[in-house]
Amino acid sequence: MIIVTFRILPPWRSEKWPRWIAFIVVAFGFAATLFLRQALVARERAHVARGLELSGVMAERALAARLETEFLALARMARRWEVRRPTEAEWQADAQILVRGDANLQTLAWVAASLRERWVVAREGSGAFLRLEGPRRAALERARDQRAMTVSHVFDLEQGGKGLLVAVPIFESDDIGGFILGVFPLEEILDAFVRMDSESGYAVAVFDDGSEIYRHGDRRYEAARGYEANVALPGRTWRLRIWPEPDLLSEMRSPLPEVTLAAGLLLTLLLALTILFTRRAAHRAGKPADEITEREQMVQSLQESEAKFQAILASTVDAIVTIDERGIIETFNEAAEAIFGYSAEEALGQNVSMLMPSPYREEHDGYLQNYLDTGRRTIIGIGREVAGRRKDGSSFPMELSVSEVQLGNRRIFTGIIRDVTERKWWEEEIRTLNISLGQRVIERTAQITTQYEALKREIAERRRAEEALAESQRFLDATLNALSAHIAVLDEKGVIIAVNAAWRRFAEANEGDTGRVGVGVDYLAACRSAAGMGGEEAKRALSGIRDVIDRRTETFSMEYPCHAPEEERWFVLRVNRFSLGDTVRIVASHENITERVQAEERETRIGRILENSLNEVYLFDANTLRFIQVNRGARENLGYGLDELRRMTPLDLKPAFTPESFSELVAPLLEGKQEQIQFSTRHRRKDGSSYPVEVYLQMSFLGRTPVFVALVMDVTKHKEAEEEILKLNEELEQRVVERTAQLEAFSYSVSHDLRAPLRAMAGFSKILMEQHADELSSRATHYLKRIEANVLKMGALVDDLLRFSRLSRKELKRRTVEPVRIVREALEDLEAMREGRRVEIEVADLPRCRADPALLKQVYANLLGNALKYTRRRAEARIRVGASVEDGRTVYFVSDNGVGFDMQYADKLFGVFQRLHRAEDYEGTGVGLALVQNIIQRHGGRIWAEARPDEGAAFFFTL
Amino acid sequence: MTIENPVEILLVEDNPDDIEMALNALEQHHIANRILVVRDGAAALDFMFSRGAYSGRDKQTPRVILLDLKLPLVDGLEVLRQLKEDPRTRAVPVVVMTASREEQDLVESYRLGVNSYIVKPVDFAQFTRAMRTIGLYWLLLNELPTP
Repeated sequence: MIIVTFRILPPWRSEKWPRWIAFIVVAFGFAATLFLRQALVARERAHVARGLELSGVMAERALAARLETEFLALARMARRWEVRRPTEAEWQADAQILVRGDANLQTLAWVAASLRERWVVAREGSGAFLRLEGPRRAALERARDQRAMTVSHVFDLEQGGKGLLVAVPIFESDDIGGFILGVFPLEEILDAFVRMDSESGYAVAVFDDGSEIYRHGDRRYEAARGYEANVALPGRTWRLRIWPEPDLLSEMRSPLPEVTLAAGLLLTLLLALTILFTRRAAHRAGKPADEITEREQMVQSLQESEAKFQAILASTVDAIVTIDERGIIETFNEAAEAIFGYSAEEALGQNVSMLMPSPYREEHDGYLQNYLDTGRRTIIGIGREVAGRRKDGSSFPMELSVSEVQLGNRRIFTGIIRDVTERKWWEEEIRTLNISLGQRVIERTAQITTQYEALKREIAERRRAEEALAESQRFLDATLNALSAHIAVLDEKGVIIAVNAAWRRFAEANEGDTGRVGVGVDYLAACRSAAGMGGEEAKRALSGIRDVIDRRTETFSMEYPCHAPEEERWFVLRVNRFSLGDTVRIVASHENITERVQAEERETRIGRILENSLNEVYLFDANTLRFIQVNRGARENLGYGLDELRRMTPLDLKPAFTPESFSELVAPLLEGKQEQIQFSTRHRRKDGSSYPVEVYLQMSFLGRTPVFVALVMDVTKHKEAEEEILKLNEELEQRVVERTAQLEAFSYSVSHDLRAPLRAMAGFSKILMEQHADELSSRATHYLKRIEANVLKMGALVDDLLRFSRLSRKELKRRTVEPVRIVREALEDLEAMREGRRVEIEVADLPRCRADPALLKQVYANLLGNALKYTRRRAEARIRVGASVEDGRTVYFVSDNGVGFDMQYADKLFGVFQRLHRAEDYEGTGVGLALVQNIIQRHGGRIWAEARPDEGAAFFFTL
Repeated sequence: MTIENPVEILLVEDNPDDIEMALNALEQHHIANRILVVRDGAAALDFMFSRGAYSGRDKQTPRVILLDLKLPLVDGLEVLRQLKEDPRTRAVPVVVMTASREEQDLVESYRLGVNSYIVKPVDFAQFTRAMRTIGLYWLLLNELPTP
């Protein structure tokens, strides 16, 4: 709303530049540029020099260290020598390793103090010789004189190039006992050293006694730019020179000084030109007309805007007061008059503080001063509420906004003021109302909240209580229902008020419905009616429950049988009373204890059985061994009473045992290695007699006490029976022997007594036919022949019978045999039967077996004999001898293509004197197969045959 | 059977049939001369040791004894034992004749030192052959038979 204009005037417009200023500037610029360049050059030089020095020192140290390292090996060898003089072979081996391991060592030698004796090891291609003349000898002598390691002058090597010799004296108890010498090619050592340093870009030269011995790098040494240092070697000092190569120098030199020079001169020149041109332009300009016209227009527009401003000032409703820097009122509009009650005339020229009430008034001057001094605003520009003061002295709230205006050199402050008394009043009213409303809302809310919380708590508590109740009820129900006992809760009159699931199930299963004993039924009445029907148990139960109800007893319990038609059952009834507040409740539970009762009964029964057992049963402590229980059978047999036995141990009954041997006996039981042990011993009775016993002992527990249970059998009778059997067996054996002897006597007499008459008959017949043939008719001769034939047959029968009886009695002598060999022997014996016949005999491989070879031969002889006999009519007889394995057993067989037989007579095949063929057709006595069967059976085997009439027969046997 | 003639063969056999057949067999081979037959073991021993009925006979021993094992009074094995135990008779060859093939007889005979053994066969021809073989063998060791 305030428009301020100001005019810019250049401060130098009226001044003049002197011409010489430009020259001064140029001169100064030149001087500064030159100075700068010189400074840069000097710094660079210093940098190069420092670099060189650093490199030089490093090179010097490196060379010294390098040579020292090379020579150290020789020194070590000398020290080793001092400790123990090596043999030549040892030294040679040592030296070979050194020479081969050190690329720079050319020759290594030991030289005796006399210098005559020497051992030399040289690098390959160097020749193992060592000349000791000139500088080398000098070095050696110096080493001897100075008693220290010495390096020789550089000398020319035989192989070409320069070299140096290092001599290390060997001390043998203060005397010099010899030297270790090493020859090093100089170039190689120094080249290696320079190579290490080749990146650095320096040239190197080494001088020994003023003459150059080594040089690396082309350019000549410049003393100004180089670095020199002494390198101390044992007994000798070298001079090392090092200087930068041109490449390095150019690398180190920067173009900065030149650039600086050029840039400085150029800048100076430019500056001088600028000054000259500026001066000429200003001189030509004079006073411009355009600028004045512009100024007048600006003044005019300013006046217009001031008029506008005044109009605005007058018409506005807000009080507008302007003050100067000292607080003097300069304008005071109409609205201000209305608000403050001062007229414009009264207010103008006055200090603005008159419009302010204490204490603001006193502070106001301070504010203004503060602002002017520091620029920190306290009032200005900030719309805010302050208090105003009317002419009548009353104060009122007003909204004040202050802005600062710069008018020329002056600063004016404009304050826009609005009376906010009324607004304030309303605001205050609303605020008060708000406050009281808020208060009331808060109070009410708090009230409601409290009530709500209380209600909520109450509800939650009630719910919790209900839940807990339901939970405990559920828990109780579940518990009760889970119990196998049948449980009913009665009131004090005996009426059932609750039952569990087991009760219900039982009632349903036994009564068909729960009506008689369900909830609401008078249980006492039910018991009474059962008692009335003669139930003795019901009567007891009734009185028991009554006693509990009437507080005569706290609890009551009884066991009773309650048998169902198909099973025996026992129950236990337990009655308990409990108080619930004033009321009394009775809990009656029936529990099925059938198993327990039966178990008890079984136990009792088993106990009784054991007690009455005629076997002796002992129970004794596993630790003390004292008897705990001994049954009647044992007591009666022993003659001891139970009281006596309880003071005894098994050792008192078993005289054969000592405590040690008994504990050894029962150890496997105690250690759990065996469940039962069995042993035989004798028991001693009280009367001193004893009897044989068989003891079965095992461990068990009586409660927690480990015990032994012994089942003891009096085996007197067994023993007697055993002896009897033994005696009978012996008798039987004896009788067998006797019978056998009889049998032998019988066969002997048969052989003699039967054969003798036969022999006579045959003999005399023969004599008649041979010696008296001329006296006999042909018919008589014929009859005599028939007699002779029969006699011979009888003889064969007797012989076979004897053979049979003899072989049957022959002792079986089994051993491993080769059946093939036996078959061959048998066939040889049967050679006669094959004479003049075509017989094909095939003998397969026969597995070995254990048999009596003589008897097995008899078997094969008989079977093969039969086979040959019954194939007699075949044009070509085929006989097979073989074996096969059936069910893991070897089956041997002999088969033929002979006349065979009808299988329906197979059962007669092996009987004595049984024949399936006529004697006219096939001779024989009918003993052979009987004998074969007898032999096979005595071997534990079996024989059988398969055959078809006219097709052949096969005999199979196992052993 | 004259005592005067020296006995060449002593036949100890109790069975008359066998005696007759043996003599017949020996006769067939012309070696029936000077055969003395005794009917039991005791007689055989008496003859051999010149005692009892034979005491005082000349001390000439037979060339061979044909001895049956089954004999009355003293059985053949006992006779054999005594003959082989006595140094006077030990050298006389004894051929055991038996109807039996019983093993123990055989074994025992050999144990006692029998010189030969024949089983009396039922076949007379066979017997004759056996007698001949044995007779010849033992009789002709030193001396040819009388033609």
